[in-house]
Amino acid sequence: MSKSTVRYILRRLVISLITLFVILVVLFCMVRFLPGSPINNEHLSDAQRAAIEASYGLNLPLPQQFVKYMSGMLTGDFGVSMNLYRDMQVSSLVATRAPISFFLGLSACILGTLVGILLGVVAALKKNTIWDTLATVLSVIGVSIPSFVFAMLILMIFGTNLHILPTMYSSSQPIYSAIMPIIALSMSVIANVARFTRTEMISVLNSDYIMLAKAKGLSRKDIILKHALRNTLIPIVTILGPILVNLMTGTMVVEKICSVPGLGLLLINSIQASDYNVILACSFLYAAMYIIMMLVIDVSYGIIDPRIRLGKDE
Amino acid sequence: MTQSEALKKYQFQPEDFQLAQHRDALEVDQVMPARPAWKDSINLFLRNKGAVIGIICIVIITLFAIFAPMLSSWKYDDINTSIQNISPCAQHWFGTDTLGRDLWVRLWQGTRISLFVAVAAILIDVVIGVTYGMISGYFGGKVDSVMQRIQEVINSIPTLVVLTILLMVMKSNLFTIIMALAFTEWIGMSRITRAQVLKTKEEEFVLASRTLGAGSFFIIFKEILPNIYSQMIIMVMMSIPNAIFYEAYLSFVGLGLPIPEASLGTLINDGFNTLTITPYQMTIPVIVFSILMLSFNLVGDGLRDALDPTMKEM
Repeated sequence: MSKSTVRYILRRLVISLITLFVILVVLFCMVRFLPGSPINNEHLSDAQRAAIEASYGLNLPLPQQFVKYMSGMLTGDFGVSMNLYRDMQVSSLVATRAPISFFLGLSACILGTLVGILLGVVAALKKNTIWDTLATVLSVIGVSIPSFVFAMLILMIFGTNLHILPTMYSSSQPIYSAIMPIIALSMSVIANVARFTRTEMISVLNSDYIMLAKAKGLSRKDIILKHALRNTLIPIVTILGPILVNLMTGTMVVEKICSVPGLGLLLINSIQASDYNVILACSFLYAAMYIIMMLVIDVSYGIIDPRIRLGKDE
Repeated sequence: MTQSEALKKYQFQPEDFQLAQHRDALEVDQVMPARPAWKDSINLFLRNKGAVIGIICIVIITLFAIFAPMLSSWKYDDINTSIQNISPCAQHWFGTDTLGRDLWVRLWQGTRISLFVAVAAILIDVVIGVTYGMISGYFGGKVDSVMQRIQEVINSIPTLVVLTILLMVMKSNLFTIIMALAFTEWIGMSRITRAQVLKTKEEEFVLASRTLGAGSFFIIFKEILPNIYSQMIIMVMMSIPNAIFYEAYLSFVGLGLPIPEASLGTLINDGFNTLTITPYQMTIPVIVFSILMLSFNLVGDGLRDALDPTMKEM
């Protein structure tokens, strides 16, 4: 790694940290301005309500609350849930749910990339045939239609009509009940990857070194597997960013439809219950994941393709 | 033997000579008639079957969305408990929902709102984004780097977190949803504008204009802006389905339009709650939603190929 690369990574790290801090401040303030209070039991008198709010430290001035929250956060304490899961540690709530969301997202990403590459390669090799058209149509549909529509369709066809897949997530059969959300989520990945692989593969197949390989008398299989495919796959990293962002938004809605107890569903439920600490922790986690992902992808460009000079941006 | 003697001995026959080029093969270079660029673009666009189908679908859906609620004898918010959950029939073409509201009217009213929200949000973000990108790109230097840092920070907060938090704080209604969508979508617009401005402002015609004494204002609006129209149109077409999707997403999270308003998102969400009993309540809005998303994407792709042939495929 050159000096400019290191400098670039350091600069990005600093910006990411500042951004995270800004996000935390903004989130913290906005959550406190939410209409409605987490202590919304109608049977409580005003004095009882005030007492409960005081026990959570909600009566303190905002800056003091923030400092308290920040210092707790640095030691891994994200506060307690005030409404949804009364007095449970937010960190343990998140810790039980995040792995489910990660599992869904990651499997969808891997499945989608593999199928997408296969589809794209087939389309490129059989260019201008019925297979190519089919793959193109499929990828346009996959790109345009959001994953929650696929989730609903699969739920309706295979869940309620054919009874092949479970309509509700059950924690006793995590793999079996994850099939539906994973397939629904992987659709957009398949479409994006297939589209990209096709164009990339076609341009690689037209390049001079493939002609040289043909002239040397290599077999078609060798040319495709050893020369063309490898050079096609590298640029796929460049579209992983938008794909992963898509997946993150997708998981939230798909988790609701398939009632998967993941991070997205926790966030949706906590919004409806105005459960301050849970909202804060979940949205902060989403933002942090997003920022880390972007950082890793941007840095990996330079490592994978040295022609992209990282230090010399703008 | 001299040369002339040898020549005398040699007899030329008529067949010895042949026309170097056959007369029929002679061709006059055709001068293409001067045509404005937009005519070429329209021709290119019309040759793309998918894009033409897309634009026809959009026009039909828009016409229905405008006129169907006016022409129907039902009102979209008329609650009539005597006609709950009627399946599609001659009187109620798409059936009625759990509160006895006619779904044909509600569907088109919802489509109207969804389209309105998306178009309004995108128009606002074009204004914000283009202004921001223009200023940042044209003036460069300190202004540019400060504006870019601000944009970098805003951009690294995931859209879904921004939307969720914004709409939790502001009471969600038509206006706040449009504002929130405009707030999250302008960054892409400003990026493209900035890149184009950076490219265009070094061109000779801008230099010529400046030499003739044109001010910054004149150069920005008369010289640079006309050169980025095509990019803007493409960007708008690509952003509209995004806005429609995020509106639907908000309804799913429980931050959509308040009842009794209808949008495609709220209709799908309401229908989803009674999926097992009355599947048509969800299927019909999902179909219209998917066709709309698909059409906008197809038209966007077609426009990109027609207006900017160098930018083909990603």
